[in-house]
Amino acid sequence: MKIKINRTGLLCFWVLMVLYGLAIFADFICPYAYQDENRDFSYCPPTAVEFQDQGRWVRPFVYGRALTFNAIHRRVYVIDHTQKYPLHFLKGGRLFGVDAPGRFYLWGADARGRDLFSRIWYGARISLSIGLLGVGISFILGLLIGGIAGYYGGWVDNILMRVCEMFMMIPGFYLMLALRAAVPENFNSVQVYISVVVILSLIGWASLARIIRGMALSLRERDFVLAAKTLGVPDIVIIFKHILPQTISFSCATLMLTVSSYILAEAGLSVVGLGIQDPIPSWGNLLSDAMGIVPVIFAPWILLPGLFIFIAVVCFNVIGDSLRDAFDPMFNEKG
Amino acid sequence: MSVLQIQNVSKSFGNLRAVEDVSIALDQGDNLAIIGESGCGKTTLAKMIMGLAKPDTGFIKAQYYSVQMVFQDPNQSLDPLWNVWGILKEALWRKGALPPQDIQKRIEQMLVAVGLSPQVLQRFPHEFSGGERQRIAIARALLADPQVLVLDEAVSALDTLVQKQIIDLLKKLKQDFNLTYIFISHNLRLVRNFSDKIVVMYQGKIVEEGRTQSVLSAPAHPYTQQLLQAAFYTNFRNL
Ligand SMILES: Nc1ncnc2c1ncn2[C@@H]1O[C@H](COP(=O)(O)OP(=O)(O)O)[C@@H](O)[C@H]1O
Ligand SMILES: [Mg+2]
Repeated sequence: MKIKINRTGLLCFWVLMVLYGLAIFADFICPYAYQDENRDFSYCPPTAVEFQDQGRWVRPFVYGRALTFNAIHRRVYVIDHTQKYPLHFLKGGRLFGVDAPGRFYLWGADARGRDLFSRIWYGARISLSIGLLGVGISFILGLLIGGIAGYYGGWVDNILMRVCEMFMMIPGFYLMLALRAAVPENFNSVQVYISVVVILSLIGWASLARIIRGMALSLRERDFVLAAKTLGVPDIVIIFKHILPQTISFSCATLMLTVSSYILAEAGLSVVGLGIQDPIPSWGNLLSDAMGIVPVIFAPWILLPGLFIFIAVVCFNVIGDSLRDAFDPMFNEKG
Repeated sequence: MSVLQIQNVSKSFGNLRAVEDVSIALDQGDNLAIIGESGCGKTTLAKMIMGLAKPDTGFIKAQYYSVQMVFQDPNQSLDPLWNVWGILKEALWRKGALPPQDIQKRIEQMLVAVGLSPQVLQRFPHEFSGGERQRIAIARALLADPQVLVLDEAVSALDTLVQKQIIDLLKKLKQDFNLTYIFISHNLRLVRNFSDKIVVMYQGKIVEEGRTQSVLSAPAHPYTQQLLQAAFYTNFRNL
């Protein structure tokens, strides 16, 4: 089966691959660990890399900085031209960095002087994986329950669909908050991560199950399903072999769109402080630093995680759309 | 020896009596045609024979899984997402775990028997013509080792020339596999040289039955006469 995806979709696919690549290799790419802080560099702006020293080309380096306060007690970082920290590469298992006491902030620092660049890519691990895992669970639930409800019909269908409606009745965000409230407070970070995954997966499965159920309801009357029945193929095999594969075009497209909505949902949870907890970064809780107007005005770089949420969400949506387009003609052709 | 017994079977959809009090007894080696216009309940009857629908009243007696069916539209009866290998392998489901060489051998032999090359195993249904697809559907039905084959408008969706090829194939297969046929059609012309017995259905009921020769030469029911006229008026010597 060949799937021809359009160019924008392909571009978005590669953008995502790069994001996932950076997340996977965060240990190597980032100059600092995500919890590596230095209060002397609170909200330190992005560091400029110098290539020339007194008009001569030299090995790239950064100047040291000194924290001062101006007349209205605002932080001002002044560049100290006497301190030079050469950029070194592939040292200590990291792609680039500078020696202490110098600090290198490619994309600026947060309130505690932690490197935003590093925290974004460590945070990408959480944000980009949580959506995928959540969607994975949602899909297993949605396909299985929708497939069974539609294929068997009758009272099985009735019971399963009422359960779905219970989940669909509550608006997603409130359902999420309610479920989060049920999670014990003393959970460690791994347990929080898993519970966020489960919470996310519980918001999306019901609507998927309903649509799959509708498809299964009409697919079960198709001749190829009847033929399999007369051959003595068990129901569950028919559901997996003949019913669910027919929904693949819809499922793949929806899968992508759901990933993006889960990434947003995780961000939403984390922004209000109910998701992944500091010091572990996620794009959502990184963005929660930007909740106040003052930091945003004086340290606008802390909005960067929002840009990456945006990029990831757009990419998943575009891929979802182009997958739908890619599947369409093929199915029309086969009638 | 009786292989299939249909006894006073009725089925309604709401107010519509799709099949009404139908009884048919089928002996080993029979070649029975069920004739009737569209909507007279032929497919409903076939589905009840297959156990895909339950009769409201009456019963159908056959050995378990001894009946297989070839559906009207080969575009619909073959899963578009599976290749020939996957489609045919499914027919061996009830045989349990067979050694792989055995499966391969059975499937290839069956493909040859229905006039296809064993090289088509990796191809998908949309890569075949209508006639070839119907051959695959026949191969699938026969791989399940049936005694009785229900052919529900099995050639109606095909061109006249291909119809003749499939009919010839069915004649040959009947001998080779010692089959009993229920050949369902709305076209009397097709069954003239094919079936030995005819059942004529009209609005869910059997209105006439008998040996093909006698029904065609001396139709008793006015509906049969009408059908005959419609079938042979324009082109009597066709087929
Ligand atoms: N599942 C169903 N629900 C309601 N009506 C049906 C159903 N299946 C068939 N019918 C009706 O029963 C009648 C007989 O249909 P069918 O057995 O398919 O006829 P044929 O195969 O002879 O063309 C038709 O009027 C059809 O509309
Ligand atoms: Mg029919």
